[in-house]
Amino acid sequence: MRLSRRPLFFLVVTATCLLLYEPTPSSFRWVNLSMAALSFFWFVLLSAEELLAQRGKGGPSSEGDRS
Amino acid sequence: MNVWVFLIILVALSFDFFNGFHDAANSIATVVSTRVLTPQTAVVWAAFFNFVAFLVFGTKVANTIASVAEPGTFTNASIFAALIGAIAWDIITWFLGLPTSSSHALVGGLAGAAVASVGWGALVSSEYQKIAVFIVLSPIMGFLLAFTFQTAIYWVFHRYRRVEKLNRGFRRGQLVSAAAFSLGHGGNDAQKTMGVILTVLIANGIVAQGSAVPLWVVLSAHTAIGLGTLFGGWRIVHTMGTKITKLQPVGGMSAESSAAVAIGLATFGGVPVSTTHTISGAIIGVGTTQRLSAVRWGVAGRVVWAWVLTIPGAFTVAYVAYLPFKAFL
Repeated sequence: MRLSRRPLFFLVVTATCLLLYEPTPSSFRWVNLSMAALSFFWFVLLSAEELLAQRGKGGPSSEGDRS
Repeated sequence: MNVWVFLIILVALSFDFFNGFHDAANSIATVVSTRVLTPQTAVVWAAFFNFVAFLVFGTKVANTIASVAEPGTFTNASIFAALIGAIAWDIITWFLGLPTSSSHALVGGLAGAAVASVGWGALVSSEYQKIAVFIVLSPIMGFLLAFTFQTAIYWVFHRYRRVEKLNRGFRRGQLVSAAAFSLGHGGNDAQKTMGVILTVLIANGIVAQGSAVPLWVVLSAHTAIGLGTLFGGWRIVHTMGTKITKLQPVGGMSAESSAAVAIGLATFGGVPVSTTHTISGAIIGVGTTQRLSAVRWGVAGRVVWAWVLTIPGAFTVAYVAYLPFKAFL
């Protein structure tokens, strides 16, 4: 079982928001945290969707297309 | 008010006019490409909301622009060099086809002129840090909000079978979202020009350091960006709506409203952001709800290059533009 690029893209976005946390002025850090949380939420949801679909079909789905 | 001040204000307002001229496509491309409005009507719609933005947003962004360098750094010559740097960089990248941000060019230009006239110590690092972080964060906000909004719409309406009625609703929704985006664009971008004019007025002792932006500055900046939108929009309208990913009315509505939220938040926080990059992020977010390959990543990659190059590029041009003044003054 492996993940397609789409959930991994959201994981990269999460990491980017967290990497920017330190240089962000303290009054704006809520933006980093909320965006990282939202992105991580989508990573988890899309990963779960793909893994469940793969288990159902018995193989990896094609790039996480929404059908 | 001397001739120098008048000239610089005129150049700053021209910069604002061309910002509206160029960026109008961002506000109306999706409404036009989904045939909700004709190009001419869409341009008038966007110009109106560009203008009235001053009633909604404060002038925090203008104050941020006016405080990117230590008090007393800017002179008429250095502000002029900064504007030359920003405008020249915009023209160079327009020739190269890079989707750069006029806002970042202005910030880079101000930095270059400040360093050329006084040195690195003139820059207020906390302001630049805020601007630099949001160069990356604002498209991410647009992307994530648009993805979330679009997916939520799919979830809510996927069982609804009266597609025609639904599309009519989304088309009406697009009118509101395009208006909201134009409002955000007018609010954030016009304030950058206000910031430059405020800097000139402070440098010449016409207003005191830390004063509020005079009403005539607010009105003239919004008039310039509104007129730019009115004159420029529909000729370059084919860009954003179709180049990154193909949009339906529902996608256009999601992209515009998400970008409007992201830009509105930044404007209320006093952060100058690129409206072009934010709407690009939002359009990518909408495309990603289908699949990653629905997004033309080449265009998205060029936006990333624009992030990297704009501030150093405009910095260099403004630095060089100030050198002749340095030799003569």
